Amino acid sequence: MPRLWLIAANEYKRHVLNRGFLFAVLSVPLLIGAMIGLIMLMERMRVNNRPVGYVDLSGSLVTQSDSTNAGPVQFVAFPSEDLAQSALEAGELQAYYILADDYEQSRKVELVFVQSPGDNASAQFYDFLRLNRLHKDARADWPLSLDLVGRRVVEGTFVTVRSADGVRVYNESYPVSFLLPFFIGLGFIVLLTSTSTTLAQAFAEEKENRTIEVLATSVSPGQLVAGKVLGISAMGLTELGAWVAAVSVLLGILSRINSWGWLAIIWVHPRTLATIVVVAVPTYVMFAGLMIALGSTVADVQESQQIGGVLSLLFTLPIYATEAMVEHSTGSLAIGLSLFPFTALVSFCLLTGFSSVPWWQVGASVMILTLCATGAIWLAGRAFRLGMLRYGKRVDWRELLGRGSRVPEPSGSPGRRGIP
Amino acid sequence: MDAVEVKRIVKSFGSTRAVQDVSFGVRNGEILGLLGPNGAGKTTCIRVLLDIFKPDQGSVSVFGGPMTEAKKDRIGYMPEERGLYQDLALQRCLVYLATLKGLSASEARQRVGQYLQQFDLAAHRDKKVKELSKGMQQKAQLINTIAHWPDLIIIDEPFAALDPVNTQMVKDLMLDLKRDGRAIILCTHQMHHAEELCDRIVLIDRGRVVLEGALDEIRRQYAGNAVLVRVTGALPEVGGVLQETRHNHTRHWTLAEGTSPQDVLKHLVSSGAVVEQFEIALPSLEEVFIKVVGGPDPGRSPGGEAGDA
Repeated sequence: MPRLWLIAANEYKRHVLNRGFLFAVLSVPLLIGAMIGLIMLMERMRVNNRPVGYVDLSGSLVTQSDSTNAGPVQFVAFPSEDLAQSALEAGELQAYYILADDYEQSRKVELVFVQSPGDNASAQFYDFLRLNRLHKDARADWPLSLDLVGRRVVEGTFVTVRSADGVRVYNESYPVSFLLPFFIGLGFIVLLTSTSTTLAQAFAEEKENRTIEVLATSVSPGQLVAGKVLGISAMGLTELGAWVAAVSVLLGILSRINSWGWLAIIWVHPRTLATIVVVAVPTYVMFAGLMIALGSTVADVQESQQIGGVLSLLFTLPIYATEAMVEHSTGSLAIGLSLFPFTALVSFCLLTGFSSVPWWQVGASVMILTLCATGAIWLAGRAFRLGMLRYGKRVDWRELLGRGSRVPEPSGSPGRRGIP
Repeated sequence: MDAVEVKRIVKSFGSTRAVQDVSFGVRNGEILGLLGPNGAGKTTCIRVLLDIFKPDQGSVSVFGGPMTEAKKDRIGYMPEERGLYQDLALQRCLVYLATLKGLSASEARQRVGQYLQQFDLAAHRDKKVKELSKGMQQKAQLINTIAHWPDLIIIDEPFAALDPVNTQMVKDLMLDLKRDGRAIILCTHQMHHAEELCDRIVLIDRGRVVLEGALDEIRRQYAGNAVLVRVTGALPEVGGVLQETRHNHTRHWTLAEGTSPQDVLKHLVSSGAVVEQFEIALPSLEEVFIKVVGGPDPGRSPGGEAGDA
């Protein structure tokens, strides 16, 4: 096996076959699962499908429609409060409503219960009242069928908002799809920062424990750097793959539950996804290069973690400007952040979710990112050559950038590899 | 043909000249001592030899030509300290590093397993490197250096953390490797080890070679006018002895100018003394070292040369 792959495989196994990685992989789906479970538990606690009674003293309610009865809670009409009260005390009802005799004027409705009724029962009764009101008006001068009116009341409107290019679509049925690019972006950021900081640590660690000196006599610096980047990137992709698989399974299970059926229709437009990926790839290369440079130039692992953590924070800057970016998606702040290499990825995730981004903006950002990624790789190579044998010492940034160089340029035979 | 031939190399770091006009070579079946005080430039020479650093001037020939990636597989290098993955299990770490030297995984496992047995580390094969004692780590590093059966072995301070038993074991191993035709460069500032093992030495101080040659020649070169004498029975009066020191029954006589060892031996024999031992007193390598390099230099880096020299 070529040595580059040996190094990549070793890095992959070193980082994947340990408890820390398992914890990192499981933590995200577990966290999402726990949050969804909590929401479901709270929802379940607010749901009560036992029958609800009502006493219509005003005589303004017409008979129940089939549409309204499609809900899980049955409404039972009682001719008097006494009978309704008896049914409540007998445990046949969770609550009953009393429509005042002047309900048509006052809209006064009284609720009687022993324990608070379920939110769903109250909501369904409210739909029932609205349905009756509309039905009554319809009978007067707007001859619509009761079923049609009922569906509109219960199911809501069917309005879809679509951007001019058709990429952005919003309707009440899948609000999460609207936010999905943003979540994908956040996922990329987590992946990018975790793998990049692992890279920085890997280089700092080898410098700290001096393995680098042994490796330098076995493989070329290029093989060493490329092998590490490949292995640790594969680790990151494994992490991402595990998250996507776990979340997909979770969503698949949840979508089978009636009230979570909307999860089955979550989708993201391929162009949106393509935009995020073309911005994410050079962003990753750029940040990985910077992290290698960091790992090679710092004195120890701890220092690399501290500086890497601060650099990672730059990625989250657009989140703090979300409101301004969404409201003015073509404003100078939105365009500026989408062109700044560190903030481009999250900016595009926000912008593609909430508006349409012109191709020139994506192209310009990718070009800037590609230039920065190239510069970062050059910097990583130089930092690695200068810093790899400086145990416990930092490499000065001026020296790294070629100003006030302390180490002369290589003067060995042309075509040979080595460290100047 | 020399396994390694270093010719007049110069290496500077900024304004600091770490190595100045250094030349040396090592042949197959020979142990060369690369000696010098801390910060002398030994490690820089080794790094230039290994193509980790490029020399500013001069040339390095390894196995008859410039260093190539393929030639690196024929070299075993043990740096002064550490050099292993601390959080990996011992055997896994050694097998991985051996595969980077061109061994197949199964071959690497087999050889590493054998060496772990030989070095009494088999019971610790699944322990993380950081859980091993310094001495064990040192032995593990040595296994890493020789597991791929290199033709050229470069060892930097191999005895630093070893107890006497393990020190002897490593010495025996080095002598076995030498007999097997390997070329060995031993970097150390512990002169007694060099004296015991090396065929030739190169002494570096402040980046320059200050002494080189076969060990015996160098000791003879620095020998004073002195003899070691042991006789049985009464010792006759001997003229021309300036100073006498005793080690058990052996006397060390420093002779006066104009008195030769031959004169002393002739006198002893003619006086009827039973001479059991008579030899020219050669200085130890440590004495030569102190004579050449001098006392401690406050300007020298106390932390060794790793990293910047």
